[in-house]
Amino acid sequence: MSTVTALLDRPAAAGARRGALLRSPARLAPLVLLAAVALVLVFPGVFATHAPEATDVAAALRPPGAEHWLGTDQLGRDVWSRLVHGTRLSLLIAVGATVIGVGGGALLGLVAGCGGRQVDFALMRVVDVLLGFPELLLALVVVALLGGGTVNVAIAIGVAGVPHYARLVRGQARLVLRSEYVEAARVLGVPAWRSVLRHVLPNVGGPLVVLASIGLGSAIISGSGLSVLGLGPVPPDADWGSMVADGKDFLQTAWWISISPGLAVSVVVVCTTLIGRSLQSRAVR
Amino acid sequence: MYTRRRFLRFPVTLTAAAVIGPAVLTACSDSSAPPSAKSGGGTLRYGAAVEPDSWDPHAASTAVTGRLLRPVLESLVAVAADGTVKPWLADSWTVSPDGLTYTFTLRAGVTFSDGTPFDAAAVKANFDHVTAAKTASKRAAGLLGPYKETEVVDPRTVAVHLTAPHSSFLGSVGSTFLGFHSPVALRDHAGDLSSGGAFVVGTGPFTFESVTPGQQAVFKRRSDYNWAPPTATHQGQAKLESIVVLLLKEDASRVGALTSGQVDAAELIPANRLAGLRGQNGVQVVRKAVPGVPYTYYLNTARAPFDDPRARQAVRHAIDFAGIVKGIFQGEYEQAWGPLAPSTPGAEPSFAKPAWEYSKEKAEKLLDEAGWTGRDGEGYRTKDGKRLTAEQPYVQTFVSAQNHTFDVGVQDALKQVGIELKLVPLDSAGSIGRTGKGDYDVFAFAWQGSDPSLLGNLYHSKSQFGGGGANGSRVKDAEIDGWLDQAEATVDAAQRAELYRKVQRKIVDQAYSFPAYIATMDVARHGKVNGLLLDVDANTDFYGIGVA
Amino acid sequence: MSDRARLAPRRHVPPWARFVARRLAAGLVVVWGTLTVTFFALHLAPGDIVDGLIGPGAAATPALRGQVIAENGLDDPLLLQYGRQLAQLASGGLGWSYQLNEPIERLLGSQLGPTVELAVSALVTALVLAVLAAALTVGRGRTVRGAAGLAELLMVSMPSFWLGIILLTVFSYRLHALPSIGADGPAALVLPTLALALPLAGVLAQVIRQELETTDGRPFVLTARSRGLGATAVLLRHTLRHALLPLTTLSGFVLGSLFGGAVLVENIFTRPGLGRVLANAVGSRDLPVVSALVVISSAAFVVINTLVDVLHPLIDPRLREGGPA
Repeated sequence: MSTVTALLDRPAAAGARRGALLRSPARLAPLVLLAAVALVLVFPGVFATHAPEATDVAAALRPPGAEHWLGTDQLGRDVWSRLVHGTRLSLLIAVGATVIGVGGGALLGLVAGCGGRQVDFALMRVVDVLLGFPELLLALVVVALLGGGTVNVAIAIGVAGVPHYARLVRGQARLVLRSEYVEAARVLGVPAWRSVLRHVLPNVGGPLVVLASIGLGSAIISGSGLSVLGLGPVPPDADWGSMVADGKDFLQTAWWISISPGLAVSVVVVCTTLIGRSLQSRAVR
Repeated sequence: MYTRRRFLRFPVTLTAAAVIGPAVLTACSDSSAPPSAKSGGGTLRYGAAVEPDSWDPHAASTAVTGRLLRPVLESLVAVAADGTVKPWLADSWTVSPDGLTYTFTLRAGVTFSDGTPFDAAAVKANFDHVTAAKTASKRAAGLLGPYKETEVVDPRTVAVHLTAPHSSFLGSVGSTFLGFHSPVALRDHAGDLSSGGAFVVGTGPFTFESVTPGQQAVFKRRSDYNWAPPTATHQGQAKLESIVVLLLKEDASRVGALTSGQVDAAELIPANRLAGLRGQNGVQVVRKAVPGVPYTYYLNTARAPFDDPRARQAVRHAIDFAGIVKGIFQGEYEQAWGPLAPSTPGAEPSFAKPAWEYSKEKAEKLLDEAGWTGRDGEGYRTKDGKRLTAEQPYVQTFVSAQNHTFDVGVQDALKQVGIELKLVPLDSAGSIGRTGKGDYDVFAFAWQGSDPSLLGNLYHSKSQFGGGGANGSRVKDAEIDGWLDQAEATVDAAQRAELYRKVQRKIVDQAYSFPAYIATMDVARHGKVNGLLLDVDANTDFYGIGVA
Repeated sequence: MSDRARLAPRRHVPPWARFVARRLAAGLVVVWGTLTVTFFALHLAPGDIVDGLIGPGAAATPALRGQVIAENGLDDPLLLQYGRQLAQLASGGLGWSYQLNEPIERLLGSQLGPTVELAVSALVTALVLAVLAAALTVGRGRTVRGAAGLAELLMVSMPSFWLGIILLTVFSYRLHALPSIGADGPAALVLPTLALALPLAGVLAQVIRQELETTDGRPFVLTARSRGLGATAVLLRHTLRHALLPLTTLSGFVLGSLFGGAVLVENIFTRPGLGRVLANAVGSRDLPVVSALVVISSAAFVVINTLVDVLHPLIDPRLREGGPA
């Protein structure tokens, strides 16, 4: 969902920037949390108490307790351990998608921004059309074409993010190219591509990082959303979204299967959004 | 056309008994509420678990089409609980000595709800519609078997000619899939039948009022109905005024709808919810073991590694079926042992008891013997440097959550003895492509039905995927083929039954496939619903239900 | 094309009509582009269209395959098939569903209502909540605004499926207060509406508060105050109208988040609707249904954006005289 990116289209809307929210302790908290998540991602074995895919049918659907901190699912798998190991897949999908989105968007935006008028016009109409679609819908269409699975989901979400990044890069590129110093360089006979490398890229980088950090949040939401629909990783692999889907039928009897991975998604998204906004407010200042 | 019918023949056989008359009722655990004698009226809101792929049984592949349309579309005969065939829309019938011609004398005075009389021409129009290429029948044409043509002898006499003997034919025509549309509907709306609603017109005790895809189907009582089969609980018009079937695919929402009172009864209650529901005030659970083929794992015997019987047996020993069944189904379902569920007419009785043991040691020993002695970095067995890997394709939309969970449990059990089971999600087109080419190692599915002739579609060498059959293990066993062919041609019931028992024993002996669990149809109802019984196929019989 | 001719500007056509015509013509091009892209993507996608058309359960024999190919003209050149699809669409047909074996327009016709119902009720709820939240917190102290900001951030960051699950568990399964499923009556609409509206309200509240803050010092507000209007009256009659204006530029995003969210929310709540149809169609790769939905949503996008552009000057008095720019 482009909930988060929509705010970026209107930078002024990140209104809390001078509010109490982002003063230093609050600014530190998401960083600390994300660092903890990163630790879990890199060393899941340290945090997990059980093997994530090991079934133990005798201990199915146990509520949270001393042995199983977050309970067990219908096959007796430890929810906490699955959550820990699922971190990697959930975040890799999101990061992979963001990289694809930023890469594709930057390429498209640069070509449009630095190319001729016709190229720009044609590409931007395509971008306009794509922007008209909800990110999730666009991602679903890509999944329909490619099929489900971890890699395809990352590609799908990445592709769906391309138009947002493309528009940003294109706008920045045009600003820079029209500036006096690039004009001057052209008069002096510096080829356009060198101006692009030397001036456009560094100027585009900053806003792109801001957008990407916020876009990461929506990529996590979209990725887990596709997994909830059963289109994500294939067992024994599991990300947070597919854990939510697994537990959906047990909400009434075993709420812990779905609730904790959903909570994990929310926490990480809140953190990335906060960091993205603080980056943004710094850039605006 | 001939080719297509021939190929479709086996899928049909397999459903031959798929949906037998609503009439055949068996006593269920639901003893608390005797059916009320008075026809009360009222509306039943019923939560169904599956949405039909088509509302035309002649075209549909989903069993639920037959289940939900039984109150609308009726058949020539009704099949009783013991498998015997009773008159329904046909008063009587004769079979020619060569087994090629079945002549039916039709009941007088039967009309479709649009006023058209039910006669020999109607039978012919329907059977011709089933076999027409345009219908692209997925089940019904197979039920008709080696169909040649229907001959209208006189308005009340009709003869069906076959090109080869087909011992399960009479049972098959009792299926809803060979139920009768009004010939007027067939003529004017052949292209709309799949959409259901008022396009579907039959002779049954209910008319099909409307359908909202993904939401509900509405049926209304027909007041002049008076030709229930002898197997029915009563005669005359139905007790309910109307039925609203809510299509609730998600288990959680179906059960939720029942507990919140949005539906009066709901089918296919997941096992893990039964205990909780039984405790709730006023809710009763009606249950019956589903006859037919249990959820079964078919190992591809046509390629490595499962061309080696030792590998197949190892897999069978390695899985703690009893434990997984108990865990996933909370002790509500039983482990299965034979190719046919014990409640299926013709099931080999010895497979009601354990037929093999769970033993990881035996599995490991068999795998060692088969040459899978190496181990790779992830702990999987190898032979000549190649990992012991098996691929199991599945179609997400067709595999229930529980069965998928079962697959994941099997995956972990196999990992423990060093076998890697890869679950490969596919769309139905991709699955048809791969199974047709035999490009898989394991495939799993269940098949509801109540006739042992099902086995022909699953184990005959001519019944391969892509050729119209569902021979999941790709078995090419001359002995089994011979027994199946004889069973199809014989008119001697005892001999037929023995032949099918031989087939079952050989399947288990060779470990071609192994079943997971015996599914149970659990229908939960509120106290105000009475007379809810399940027929021979464990399908809800709507005709006898009343609402207080 | 005939649409275009009819809409072409004539001599005495008022400027707004000419504007609408131009926008719709451009929109038609967008829809056509979408259709073209999905058509070719569909035909280039891996997987066999014939197998898809035959569907599950049937025996894909060579004879049946041949028949399906002939019936659907799948052996014709791709461009001819493309032309046929355009012609079919022009006459109002959307094609045939592989999976459900039904004309798509019939399939979607019955599903459109519930989705529109859900989307509208979520939009109204989100707007009301957002305006309330913004109006109540604007100009307040740091603590109030900080708390509001945090609440909005949580709403924005919470996936709608997760919110739906929480609502279901608490209100439906624990308290038995509201139905868990279906689209039957207003009670069944409450939880899905909330799941869809809350994240949206989080975004809208931030935007509206921002606008309220910038509008507060504007001359017309001061004038109104000096005329003796109370704070509430000023807020309702002047400031709010201004604050709502920028929302119109967010219409594309709002529409998108409503439809995107509906896919998940309808799934969690087992509500009928286009989102559920789409999720199922994607799961079974029912490509004709997917492309039909894509075309429909692009058309909806064009229509709504045009509407917003037309209505814009009605809301904003400054634009009324000069006509839409």
